[in-house]
Amino acid sequence: MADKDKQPELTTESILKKLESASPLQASKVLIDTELHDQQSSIDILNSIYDDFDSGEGVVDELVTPIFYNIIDAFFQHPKLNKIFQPEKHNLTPSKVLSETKSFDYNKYATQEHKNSWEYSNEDITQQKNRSAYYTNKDSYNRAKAQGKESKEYYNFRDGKKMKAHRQQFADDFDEYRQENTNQKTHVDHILPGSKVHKAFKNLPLSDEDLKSIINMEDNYAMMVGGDNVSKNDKTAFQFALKGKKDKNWEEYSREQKARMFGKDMKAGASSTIYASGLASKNQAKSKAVGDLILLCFKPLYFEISDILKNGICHNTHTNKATQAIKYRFKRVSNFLMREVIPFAKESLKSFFSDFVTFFFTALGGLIIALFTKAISLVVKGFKAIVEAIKIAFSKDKKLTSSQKADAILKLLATTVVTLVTEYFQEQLMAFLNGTPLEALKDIITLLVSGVASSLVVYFLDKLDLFSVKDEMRTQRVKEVFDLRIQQIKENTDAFETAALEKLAKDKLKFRSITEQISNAIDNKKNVNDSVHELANFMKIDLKIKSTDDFIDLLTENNLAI
Amino acid sequence: MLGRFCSWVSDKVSDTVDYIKEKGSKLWGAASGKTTWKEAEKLHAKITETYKQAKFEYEVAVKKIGNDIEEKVNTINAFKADIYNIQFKRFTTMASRLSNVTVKGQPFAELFDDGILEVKKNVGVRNKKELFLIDFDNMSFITAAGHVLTLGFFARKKAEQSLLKVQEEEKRIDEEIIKMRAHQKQLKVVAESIDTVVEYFDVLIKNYSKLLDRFEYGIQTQRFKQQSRNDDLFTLKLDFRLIPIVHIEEFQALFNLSIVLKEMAILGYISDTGEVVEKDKGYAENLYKKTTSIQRLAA
Repeated sequence: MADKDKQPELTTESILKKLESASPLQASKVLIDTELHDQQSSIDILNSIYDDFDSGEGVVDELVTPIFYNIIDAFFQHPKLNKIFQPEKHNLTPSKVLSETKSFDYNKYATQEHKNSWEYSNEDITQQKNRSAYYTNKDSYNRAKAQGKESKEYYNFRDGKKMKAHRQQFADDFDEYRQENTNQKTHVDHILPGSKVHKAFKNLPLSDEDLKSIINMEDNYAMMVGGDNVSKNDKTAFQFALKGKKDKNWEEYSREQKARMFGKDMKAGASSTIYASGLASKNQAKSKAVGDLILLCFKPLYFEISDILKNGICHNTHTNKATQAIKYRFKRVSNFLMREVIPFAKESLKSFFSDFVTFFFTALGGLIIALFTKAISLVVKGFKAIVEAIKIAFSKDKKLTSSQKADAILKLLATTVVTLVTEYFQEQLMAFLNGTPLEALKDIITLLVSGVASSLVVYFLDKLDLFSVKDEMRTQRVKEVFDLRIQQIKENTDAFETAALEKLAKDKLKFRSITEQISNAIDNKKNVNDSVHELANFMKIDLKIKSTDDFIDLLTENNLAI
Repeated sequence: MLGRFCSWVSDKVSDTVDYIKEKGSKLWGAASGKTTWKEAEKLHAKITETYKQAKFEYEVAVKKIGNDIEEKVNTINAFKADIYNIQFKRFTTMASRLSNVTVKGQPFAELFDDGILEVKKNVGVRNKKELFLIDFDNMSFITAAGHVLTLGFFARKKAEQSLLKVQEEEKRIDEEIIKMRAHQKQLKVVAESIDTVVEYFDVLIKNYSKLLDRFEYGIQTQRFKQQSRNDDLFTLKLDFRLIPIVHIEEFQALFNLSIVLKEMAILGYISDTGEVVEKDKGYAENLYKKTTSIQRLAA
């Protein structure tokens, strides 16, 4: 019950306290001034309950918010999506997303606000920092390692397994650059050394694991004489061959061998670049970019849906036609995304995202319009599901929380809505997604669209109120409010009666005992003054003359004023 | 024979027609919501009656309590006048033999404020126009036909909504009735408390008067005593230093009791509406002048 409808609470103690603090002569006034109930008229109370039920706020709070919460939650939990996007990595929880979403307003959204956060996840940034540290201190690190003081501080970019597999393809003394057996033991050489690969791709969003797999590509391996491999250090094979080695016994590479080295360098370079850019774009898609894109999709979408429910479809859309207004609203969402999200995506993903957004919102707009125009057929087709949904939505079962209700409704309406979703989305959007890294989004889109559509169906049902459920709920509420108020008035009246009668009886007894003393004293010619003082105290009247001496002084002054 | 058969047939036919009529109207009533509407009407009539009854009982009771309180307030006003007109007059006359005594202020004649008898913002059962969304008794043919065509869907809904509104009204009226009852109880308690005040006045004035008697007797005795010693027969004033302390104590008690009585006389008990009694004001002034003149004489 809202506080405004609540009656003040009176207790016997509080009334007694009030009476005790006043003179018994004032008891009647105190009793008259005590309010046994508030001064609100019962008509006003009734009207305020009607107002609560008429505002759209209730629908949004009761159903749309939990429906969106469920969508986001399902979205975060989705196994396919979880492979490429981990919300916890970005400190995101459904309630956090929802609270951010709820506060969204087109006008207040600042373009610059999120610009920096598009680039990399925190984890990626830390790994990049660590890698730079590793490659700057690589020599001292390796020396320490040679002395057996292996530190766990840095990630190991060598892939022992792959290197072993490569070695096993050749004889122990085979040199791939020279293409002959030497009499020395050969090592597996990384044609492009780790530091070079790191340097080349340091601006791409790559994890340590990604970098390791690039460094250890088969195309980057070549068997090389052990001594040469150690001396080669941070150079490529060709660079090393050109520079040579200051050792008289060192066997120089022939021209043909150098050319082969150059070729191998080029091949390793090309392969790693292709591989790295592939990984990087996938990373961007899988990490922050996708997360934020989807997050940002929720914001304007939630805004539109809740605005429709609160203020009506045509509110602030410069049109009176529902279908026009819907189109306007979804155009606004897609424009917003085009302006705020797409420019911050990496080049390779830009066109993909822009196509995606266009398709998605055109299709969603179509779906909503279809919902409008086919509302009746929807009601007929999904009648059973809808009846069940209403029963759940307006169920008085206190065990069901509103989110549980929302969940049940979503599941129920999903079958009905998904039919429409398939009709509008499968051909256009789903086909579009096939073969892209975002194929996993299909499920999410279905979920999102079901949610939006379900919110609208619930809204329509609420507006239609086919079975007067809303009125029933309101009547229920009226009964609850008045029952509580009546109960409180009864309790207040009881407390008032008990306290007042108790105090009046006590006062009467006290007064009678004092006046009896006075009367007896007068009859028996005794001093009455003590009893008169007691009487004055009882009536809370302050007597200035406390003793006979005081009185004699007053007589001496010859001026007695009553 | 044939005649009997015909009459049997006609009886049966008419029974059947009645049956169908009855069942049919029941069915129509259920489908169109007329049954629900009738239920709403019945409930509306019931709460209107309950409210009327409760309001009547309340008004009768409040009138009675109101009269009672008014009577008591008048009694109190009479006591207040008595305090100034009789008791204080006696006291000052007597006291003036010993000292100069003045009475300040005037009694307060309280007006009975019947505002306390009103329940604020009480709204009775609203009429059917406000609560009913449909009226089956005054339905035009077109409207009725419309309801038949829509299988009574909207009529049923409106009837249901009307019933719900009347049910809400029932609760609201329950609150109004309980407020009236609460007010009735409150007024009863107030009447009781005013009764106590009447007792305060009554008992105290009696005791004051009794003490005055005792004091008067003492003062008279002392006058004779002091006169017998004094040659000047015109001296009205007594020297308080020469009289026994018991009389001084009586004087002190009367003085303090006068203060108590005065406080009681200038107070409003129900409200602060009323007037200072002009007649008594004049009296107080006279009393003051008189005492000063006596004083001057005595000096």
